[in-house]
Amino acid sequence: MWGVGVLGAGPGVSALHLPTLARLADEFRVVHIADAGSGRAEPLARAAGAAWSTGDTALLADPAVDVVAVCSPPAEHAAHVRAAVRAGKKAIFCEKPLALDADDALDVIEECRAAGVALVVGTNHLYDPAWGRAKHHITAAGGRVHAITVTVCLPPNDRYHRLVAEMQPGAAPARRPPDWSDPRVASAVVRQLVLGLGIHDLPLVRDLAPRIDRVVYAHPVEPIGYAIGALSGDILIQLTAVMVPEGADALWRIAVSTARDLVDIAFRPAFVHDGGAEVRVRQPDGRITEYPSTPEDGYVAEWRALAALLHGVDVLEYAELIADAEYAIEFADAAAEASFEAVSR
Amino acid sequence: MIPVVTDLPAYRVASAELSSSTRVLGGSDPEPVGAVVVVAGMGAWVAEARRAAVAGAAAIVVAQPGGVTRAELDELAAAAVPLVLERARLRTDALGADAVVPAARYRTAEVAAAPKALRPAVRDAIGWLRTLSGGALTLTDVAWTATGVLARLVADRDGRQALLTGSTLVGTAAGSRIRVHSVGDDRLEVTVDEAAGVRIVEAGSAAGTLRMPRVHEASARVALRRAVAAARGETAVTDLADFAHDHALATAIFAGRHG
Repeated sequence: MWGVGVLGAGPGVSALHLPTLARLADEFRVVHIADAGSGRAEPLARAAGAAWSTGDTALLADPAVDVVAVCSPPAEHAAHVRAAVRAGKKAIFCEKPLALDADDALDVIEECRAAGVALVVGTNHLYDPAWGRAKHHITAAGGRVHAITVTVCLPPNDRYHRLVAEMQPGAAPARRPPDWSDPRVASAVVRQLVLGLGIHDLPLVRDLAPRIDRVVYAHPVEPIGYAIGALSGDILIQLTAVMVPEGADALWRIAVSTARDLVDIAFRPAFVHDGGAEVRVRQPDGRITEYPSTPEDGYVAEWRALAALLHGVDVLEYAELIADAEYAIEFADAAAEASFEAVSR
Repeated sequence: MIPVVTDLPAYRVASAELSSSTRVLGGSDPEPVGAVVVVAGMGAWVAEARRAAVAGAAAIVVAQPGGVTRAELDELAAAAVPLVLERARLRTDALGADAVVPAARYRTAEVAAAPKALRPAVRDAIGWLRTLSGGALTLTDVAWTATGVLARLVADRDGRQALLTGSTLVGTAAGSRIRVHSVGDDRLEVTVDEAAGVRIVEAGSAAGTLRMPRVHEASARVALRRAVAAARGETAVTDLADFAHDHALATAIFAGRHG
């Protein structure tokens, strides 16, 4: 049983990692929650029977904390991971993105490697059992990948928060659309969205398309979203996402077109524990094969992966973490540049 | 009763299914005056359609129109005869008689087809984007690989982006699939899969997902029925202008293809 200290007390903690860890009570127990001064840590910690504090000092000094879950704002992730390593913690779970620039990501991972600290980045789609199944099918069927499209349309998260947590009032701030007419704003927001939203799927895209050769177009989508087209060798990549104020259930789909098969991976909405993604394969003769969703989702699977590292059952591939981080940052930078040019025209 | 000039089996059947409105003219060289003339959309179909127009056809149906030039399309437009184009992948009646296409935040089209079939499939996908956009689109970006194309278009009416991917499937027998999606607070997705033999339209909202009833009427019968109504002056058809739009954009997209 590993003691978990959680840095951060926003909806990503209350509606995501606490419910997830509750499902892994045989491996993990939440022993400490820290906020940055909001006061949100205390009620969450009281409910979990854990200690609470403000800032990271007390949590990192707490001997009951074996594993640090970095769930603070993205700009603080790298610093918090470093601090956890230097505090001698055994393992770190860091929400995506690991860092906002490539040098920081590399430094942080190298520091984990040097200290022998296990690190898992919370890219839950990568850990979703459906992805392994889809990738196996794509590889085994032998058809070369021709196109990857990721299509995302998300209603407000609180629709799903309330299914897994009793939220505190005002915990989920409303999203305000940025000024898309300003190229600097557009560029910065597109970059932020790629590193905050697109990053869920960029490790999967990298699995199939290992490098980004060119961003063909990158444009904002109103009210908050992006449309990005890129090339990776002979592979087309199209990423589209938008956050809407209301409406249909969340759409989150990856479609992979190979020379033979058309593979769809449809993920369940974020936050909920309603099983892994559904995989559907359309073969050249029109046959459709549907794989059932697994009971375990990517959130549970990524924490199990951390447990496996702690038990020494699995080996951490630091190089893969570096490659994932660099790929996402490279993609975000290229998309930001392209959207700056597009909005400037 | 409107006469029909055709030697295409599907249209003989369609006429039999419209037996109160139409009859197929017999003989080796039936008189086209006042008739609906059906032209197979391959080879020199434009010249054949023009001949029918000059000969006095009341309306013309082109079954599955194939390649054509801009000049040929302009000539056909000048013929001033109602022209119905049977585009089996573009059955917009599948949206439903009272279809309300939801407002989109963006639209997408994924096209997969055998290499020689990719261009007409992309053309029909553009037709779907035009339908869901409520009007014309403008091409802004294109990029090709050895096995596919990435394109970005913008709808003239609402300024929403339409993102298209077209990729090749191995084997000439590989049936195409077109999937077009209007993505927004509410959504509409159209899937036309030739290999699977399906045409699915699904509308998504907070109330759930509604699958539209399958349209069971044969494509040829729809085309013939529309031509009869146009010949009688009951409806106006815009098939040629729509085709010209879709064809022009597909041509522009494929102009960047190498090899």
